[in-house]
Amino acid sequence: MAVRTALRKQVEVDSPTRRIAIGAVFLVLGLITLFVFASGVGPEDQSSFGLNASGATTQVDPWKVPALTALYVIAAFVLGAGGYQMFRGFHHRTNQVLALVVFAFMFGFLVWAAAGKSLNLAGLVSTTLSKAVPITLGALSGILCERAGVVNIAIEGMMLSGALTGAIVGSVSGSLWVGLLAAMLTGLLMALLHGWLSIKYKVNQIISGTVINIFATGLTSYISAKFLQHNEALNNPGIFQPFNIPGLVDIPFIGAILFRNNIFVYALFIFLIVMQVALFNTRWGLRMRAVGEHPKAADTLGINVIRTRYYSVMLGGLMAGFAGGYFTLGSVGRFDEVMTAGRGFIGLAAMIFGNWTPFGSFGAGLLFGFADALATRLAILQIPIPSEFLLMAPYVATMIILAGVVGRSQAPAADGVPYEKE
Amino acid sequence: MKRSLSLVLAILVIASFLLAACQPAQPAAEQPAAEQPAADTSGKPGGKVVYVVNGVQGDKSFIDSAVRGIRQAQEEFGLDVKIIEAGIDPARWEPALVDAAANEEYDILIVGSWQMAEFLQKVAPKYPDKKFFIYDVSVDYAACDCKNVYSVQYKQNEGSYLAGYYAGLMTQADVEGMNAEPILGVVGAQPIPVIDDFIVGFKHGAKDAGIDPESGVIVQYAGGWNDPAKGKEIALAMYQQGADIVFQVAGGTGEGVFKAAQESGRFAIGVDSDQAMILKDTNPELANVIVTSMMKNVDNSLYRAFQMHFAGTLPYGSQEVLGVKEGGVGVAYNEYFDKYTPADIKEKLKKVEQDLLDGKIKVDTVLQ
Repeated sequence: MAVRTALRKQVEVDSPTRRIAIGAVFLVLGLITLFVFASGVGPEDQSSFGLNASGATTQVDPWKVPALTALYVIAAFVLGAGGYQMFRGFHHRTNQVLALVVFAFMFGFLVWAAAGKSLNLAGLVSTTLSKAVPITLGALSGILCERAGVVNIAIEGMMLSGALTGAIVGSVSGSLWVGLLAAMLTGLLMALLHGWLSIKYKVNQIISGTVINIFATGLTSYISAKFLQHNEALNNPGIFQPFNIPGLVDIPFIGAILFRNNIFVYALFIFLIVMQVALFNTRWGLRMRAVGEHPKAADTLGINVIRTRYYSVMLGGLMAGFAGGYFTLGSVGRFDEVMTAGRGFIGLAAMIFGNWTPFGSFGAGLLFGFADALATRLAILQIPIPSEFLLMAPYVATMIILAGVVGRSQAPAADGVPYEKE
Repeated sequence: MKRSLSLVLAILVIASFLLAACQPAQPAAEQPAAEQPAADTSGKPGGKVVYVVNGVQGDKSFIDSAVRGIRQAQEEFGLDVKIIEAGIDPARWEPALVDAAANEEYDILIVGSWQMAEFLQKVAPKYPDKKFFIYDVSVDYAACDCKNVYSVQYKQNEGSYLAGYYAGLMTQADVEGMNAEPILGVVGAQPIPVIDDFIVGFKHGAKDAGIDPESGVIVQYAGGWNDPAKGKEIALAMYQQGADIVFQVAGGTGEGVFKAAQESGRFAIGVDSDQAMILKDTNPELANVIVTSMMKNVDNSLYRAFQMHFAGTLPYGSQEVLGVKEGGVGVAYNEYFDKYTPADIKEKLKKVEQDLLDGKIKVDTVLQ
């Protein structure tokens, strides 16, 4: 299997069509930088980037970039990369170069947008991180399920119902921690339903997931309209406040971004590391992946496929419930109808883009979070793009990525296939 | 096995649709007839009133204000009030109104906000012996035979002018919590005329206080009325960009703006109701960041309409526009305002308010 995967990747990355297509994309980005951005700024314009996130303990002076020079440098780099890619190709380094070029282009965009004005870069990065949290947690939930071979598109519904119970139980009990626990258990309950339908009864997993999503939307909207809107006491749990990690928070620029957050952000980092190690460096992870890739072989070797899948889906449910808790207990401190707004589905996209790996998904989550955060900033900088289009940004980014800009990812081989013991 | 499974799936799906669908049919409020002692109604004119809410109660601003006015009239005139929530899905608003107009028992039916005008124009002429109030918009009297409809609108530009003038003075003043940059923010719900009327009024006020209305007032729309997460995100970005005070014109979305102000240690201005006083009991920390609210006194205007209705002086078949002069709009002078505002700013604000009353200031508007 591994050999086949590697072979296929080699072929895909090296295909001449893809090489030229990517090269063309680079050239277009370079030309946009040169002719749209660079011609739109004056020779004396400076872009001022603020480097202090809110609550920064060490203040840094804004970083002033001479706009025109910066744009010429970026355009030269992007065009150079495009030309080289067109004619020679970066081969197996294509994706890294792609990431660099996109990064440079986005930076050029910001330089253009902020020319003659100031933009709080630290604030942008910090918003990106907090926007990436629910998306990445959703992706982690998806990884847990799909690595074991169960497609879970019900993450959205699990998150939504977790958000609701988190708000109610948190308000009634007066404890955020109890609320968070309730949110996770709700996710678990939904996951059990999903597992029961799709593992035991081998229902088509997409249908089972869709049912849970519709059910969760209807139920939470009903409860919200019927009880929460009239009963403030049921919908006021408060939120986990950010706290500083002593010492590290004093680092300029990144200190206030990384080390002044609430429990959800720190938990995300812990989950990322734990899952990366557990999936790829432990016996448990190996078994789980075996069940997702080739359940029959795993069964033959004495692994209990059904039980492994149940456990994985339940873990995924806990994770989705935790992500749901973020909305009510980590962000706004109240529940509103359909407040997850498709973040569960974007999480799935992040999982696919991240090739079913924790850190890959986190990278994808950051990208979506950036698109989301950027929309808000651009409106503030009074960029002449209607706000409706800016609000679409995260969804447009999802579609472009899913349309396969980055090349095909590799799903677990038995993903979505019910296991039938012979 | 298969059969029991299909049953479970079917029940789940049906339950979801039922739950989702039966929301609007739920009368939101408890039957007030029960809480009204029978003796109370003697000597009062009485009457049946239905209020169709295109949204949900609990926004602590616009809709709650209307409900407050109706409740006040209920007490005063011994009315029998029923409130029907049509929910946040705009597709359900017209059917809810049509349904209520045809099947409920009422003497007066109340609706509000610009989306409902078009629907009311279709419904009202069918029931010529009933009366209708619509607030925050006027039906098009030239286009429909709406002799039984009373429309009331508000000069939100005047109230917002005061708010903008006040915020403009505050951001330049040496007050704790204000930074050096004279920047203000406005979070609007949607780019619709009524909301834009708030915004031009606010900008005009800020300009008269010495703020550049283009670079000094950051405006952004959240895209909805019930999305506090978006409101919070936008306001956080504005505070990071250097704004000290953000004016929220976005109903329930605005609660996120207050959260952002609280987190950033800055200030916000509420809208429609005196939001600080409403939040004071349940959430004092949140109330503490609301320096004032631009009040659009829907409650007063509806109460006034009932008064005039029973006095026989309410001009059905026409619209009224209430400004600062008529008590339709204004800013909230509450304990938080007193706590944060220096005496000289209070004085200047009073003077400008007097100028508005005297008609000396003509505030920019996008309406008419």
